[in-house]
Amino acid sequence: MDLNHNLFALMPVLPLLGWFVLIVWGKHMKEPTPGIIASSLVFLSFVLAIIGFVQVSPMKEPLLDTLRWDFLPTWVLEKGQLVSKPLQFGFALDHLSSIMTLIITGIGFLIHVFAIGYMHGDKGFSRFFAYLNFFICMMLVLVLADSYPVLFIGWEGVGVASYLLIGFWYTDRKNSDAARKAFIVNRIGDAFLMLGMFLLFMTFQTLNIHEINSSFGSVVIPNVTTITTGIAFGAPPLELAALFLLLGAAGKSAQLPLSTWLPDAMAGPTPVSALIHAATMVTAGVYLVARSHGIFANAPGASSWVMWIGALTAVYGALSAIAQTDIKKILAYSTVSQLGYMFIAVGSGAYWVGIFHVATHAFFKALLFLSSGSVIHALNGEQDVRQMGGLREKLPTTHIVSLIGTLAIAGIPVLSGFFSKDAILSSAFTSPFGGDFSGYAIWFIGLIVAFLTAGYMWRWYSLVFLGTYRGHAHPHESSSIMTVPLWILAVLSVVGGFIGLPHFLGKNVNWLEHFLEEAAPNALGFREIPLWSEAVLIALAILAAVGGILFSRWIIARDGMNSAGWIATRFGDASRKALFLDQTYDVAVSAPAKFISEQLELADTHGLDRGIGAIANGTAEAGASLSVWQSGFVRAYAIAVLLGTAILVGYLALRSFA
Amino acid sequence: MVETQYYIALAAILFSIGAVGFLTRRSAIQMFLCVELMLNAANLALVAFSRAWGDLIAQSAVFIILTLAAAEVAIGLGIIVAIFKKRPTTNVDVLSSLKG
Repeated sequence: MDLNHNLFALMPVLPLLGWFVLIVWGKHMKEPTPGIIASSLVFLSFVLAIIGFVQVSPMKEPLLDTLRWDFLPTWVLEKGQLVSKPLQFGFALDHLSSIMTLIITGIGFLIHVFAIGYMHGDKGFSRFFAYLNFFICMMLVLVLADSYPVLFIGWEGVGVASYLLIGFWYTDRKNSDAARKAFIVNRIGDAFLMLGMFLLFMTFQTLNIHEINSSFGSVVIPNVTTITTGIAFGAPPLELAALFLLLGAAGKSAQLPLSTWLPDAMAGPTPVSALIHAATMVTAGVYLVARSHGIFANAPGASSWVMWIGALTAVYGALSAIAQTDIKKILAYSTVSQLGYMFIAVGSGAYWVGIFHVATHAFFKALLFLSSGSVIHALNGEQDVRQMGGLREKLPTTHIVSLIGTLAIAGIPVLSGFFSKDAILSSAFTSPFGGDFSGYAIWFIGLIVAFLTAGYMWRWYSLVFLGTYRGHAHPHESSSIMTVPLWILAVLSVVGGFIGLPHFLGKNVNWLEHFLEEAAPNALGFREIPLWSEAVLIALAILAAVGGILFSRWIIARDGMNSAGWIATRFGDASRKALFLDQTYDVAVSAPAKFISEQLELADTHGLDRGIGAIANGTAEAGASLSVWQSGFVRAYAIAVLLGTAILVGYLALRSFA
Repeated sequence: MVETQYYIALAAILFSIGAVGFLTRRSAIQMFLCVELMLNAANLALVAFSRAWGDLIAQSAVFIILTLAAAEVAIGLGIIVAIFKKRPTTNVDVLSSLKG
């Protein structure tokens, strides 16, 4: 066995081991033990991720594990004969998945440590860490998969983990409803992902991601249209497959129109929101598009759809975040919006930019979520920002790191969010899939979203930390087991942007683009723009960010901390209700479904049940009328037997005479 | 040698006595005796026919009927005893709780 090749494949195995140990023996462990076991196993995975990163850095080809087995029996048509070509279960580590494993295990480890403090005293302590480890395992399976079906295993696995963790406090009906909603909405996306896989298999005769990606490039895809002439809709199969993958990704990454589950998912414990619903799982859709870069780069129509969905989601999330009153809901809609940004990036064909924003967003959004966790923890579970304020003095550490996170997400220069957001805006501006108009429009939408982002994040920060305290709890700073991860994430949020510096600072300063140029190369045909215009774009982005913060300050100064007047306006109301998307679903989907099921119930109780009842009653009545003969008098039976025999014998006798 | 029809006449008389007794008596024991009477009337008829035709098949059938009757007596009397333990009577008109 070649240890060099298989070491990275151990990454998902370690958290799986932790899951197993904690599920079986966790109940009998004293409090910090399950947390320590889970955290140290994830830390070991992180070490393996670093080793894998070092191994894979100089390589051109992905590193494949050697422990492979036939996993799905498939047949392909070769010269009119069905040939068995089973799909292998295997992992592959390339530059793209290496970056993802570093994010997952690194951030995952910090959040595990934070959760040891946050979940202190919860009676589901060991169960919580078992689920978290299960999630890490499945997420690693997702990013390490070298074929779509294996990716799909991880994809479904993280869905299950997400379901379990959203509904972690399942005794509250609201929480388990949110868990079910997340699971069901994800199922819609998953169905499309499977359709996409079927179509890819028809087209390429394989589902191995690297084979599919490398089949592009020099060769035009052989007769794709003739292979799948049976496919309807008139779209070329590659475009259609890419659209199906996009819908799958939209489900997992909470893009319009499947975005409604993510804000509700905040019902889970805050470390879960940070790990699953901000840093890792929801970026799986972005990863999927970047992973399938060959397909999307050759499907310009689908790619521009990716960009448009991203842009609309970005503006939708930002508008919804403005007037929320729950500390985590603001961040949740912000996540929806930022995921939209990532979709703009991967849709534009600059796949490294999407991954760049995945990384920086993982840093600052995990930081912001953990900070709000720290605030919620300090205020004994209070989540309403109107009951906060003035926590600057009471929670000094949390305040500083939150300010860093806020400035990072707002896109203030040299913090991480500035660089990734700028890269997204310029990739939209120069995208080969932008056409004559879309690219610029999406760039402009992105600029507005940057303004809104800075605005609502400053509102979040002000309402929580500035002014005077409006609540009734006695806030206290969290213990160091919670603040140390916060500090580490804060440092990453500050320096994280330097892995992807913009071009106008020099040709070879962009480490990330160079690093990913084999695993996720840019689509061809990006417009060249002069360096000065790139600088202008950056200046406009800075202007939007600073403008957003100043505008937010001005609104708060005018309307006061509670901003009651602002929320009472029609626009504020629409924002608070997330632009009525949930209500739209209620009217458009839930109400008709309810109507149909009520009609079916009526048909069932009044039609079917009645018919069956009538048959049963008829049988019973017929039986009752016949049972008169069963008098219970033996001598009556005897007479009947005698008469019957006499008649029979008489008949036979008469017949023999006749 | 006695003619066969006399045997048949005797069997018919015995059967009629049994049948009438079965229909008129109310005591389970007496009814049971009547059943035995009818059975043996049938046996007598079978043996008579057997002798008339010079065929032993009917006689062997009689042996089977005899053994079956013995078993039937054992079970029937057992049932009557069991009923009498539960109910104070063996009057079959009272024992009509199995009516539909």
